[in-house]
Amino acid sequence: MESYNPFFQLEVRYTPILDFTNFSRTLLAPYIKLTDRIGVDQENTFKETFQLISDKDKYLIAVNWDRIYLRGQGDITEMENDNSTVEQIFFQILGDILKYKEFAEIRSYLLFISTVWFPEDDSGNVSNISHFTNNYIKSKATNLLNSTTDMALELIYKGDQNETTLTLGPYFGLDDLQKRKAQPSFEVEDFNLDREGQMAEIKIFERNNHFDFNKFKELVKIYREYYAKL
Amino acid sequence: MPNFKKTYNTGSNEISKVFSQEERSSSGSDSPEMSNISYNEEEKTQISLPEGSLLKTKEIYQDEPEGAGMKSVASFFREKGVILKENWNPPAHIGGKIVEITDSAVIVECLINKQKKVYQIRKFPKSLFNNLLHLKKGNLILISIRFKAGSQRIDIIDAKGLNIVKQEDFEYKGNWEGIDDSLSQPLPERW
Repeated sequence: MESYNPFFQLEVRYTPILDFTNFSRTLLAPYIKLTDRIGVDQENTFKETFQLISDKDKYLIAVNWDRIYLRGQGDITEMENDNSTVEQIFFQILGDILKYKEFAEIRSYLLFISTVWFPEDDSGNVSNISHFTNNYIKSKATNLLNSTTDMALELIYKGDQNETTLTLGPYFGLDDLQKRKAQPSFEVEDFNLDREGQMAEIKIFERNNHFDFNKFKELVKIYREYYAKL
Repeated sequence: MPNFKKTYNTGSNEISKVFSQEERSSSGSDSPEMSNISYNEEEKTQISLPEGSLLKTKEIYQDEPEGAGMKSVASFFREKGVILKENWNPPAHIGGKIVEITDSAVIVECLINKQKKVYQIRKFPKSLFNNLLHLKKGNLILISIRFKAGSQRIDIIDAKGLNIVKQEDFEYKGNWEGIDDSLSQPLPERW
């Protein structure tokens, strides 16, 4: 069954670094050679955000005074590989920030992954609403309205230190994707997203002072386990 | 435009500032909400901004050979989505140290796995290194390898200043005791 991650975001938040703007340019300068473009938001304010953008590798890394995040698309599991962009660039920049003398601590991190996939019914047709209702919705709910053109299911777990959100529903093609905040940041040429299928958005958030590449791999493993159940 | 007061809890200290409504959308560091800042207002597939947000990104650098002030060929192709259609798989970034340079090849000690300390000696055509300003034995490089069906692409990048590749990763920190400079070690009495 074909699947694609139109959007994923790995985000690490830390105690705000008040003088971030004093060292951010020195911190990021060496990484410019690995990117195609650089952007800056809220320039010359304490919330100044730098973005390192690679068009050919389809990722964006943004850094500011209280967080760093990587946004990408394609297949999240490729990022688990040794020497991936997450290990070699994202965690290296984070490591450089952790070494800064005024750095206090990591406070939390999250992984958000959007997935679309295209299940086929017994006759080989890809279906969206019927597949979704047959698998997840009781007939009482589907009959509440005379006819239903869209539906979604949201499951939330909120613990003291972590939170998991799973949103699931039928997928109606590119128009459906463009309504969402979590949509591809770069062109998608190697995968046909303009067809009907199923869609899930999974967000895993944890409050913890330690985050490394192994922990990232654990989060992706959790995502894979949820996805396998869908 | 109504203003309100937002407080950043920094643990031991609190920093307060009056923010305008436009700034409300960004989440605090303890919020489970994902950051949502647009990076390029001209990108067709840009992340939609929260209502009322005026966050805009200024692009301060583009990797183009042409000078500023005139629309370059590179920017034309990027806007037309031509160059982007190469569809390489996500790259592997491998750190390396140049250990030998011959007339036709450069031999590099590559750090294949940082955590497991796996190293391999690999030989590359010298022409791949023509972009380096200083090709010297002992220099550190970053090798970015990408694949797609039927093709492989290798980019050699000078690792100067990049903490991804460190000189200390290529220095043996084990125990040298009992090993002297000579190539021939005395054999044990019985072997």
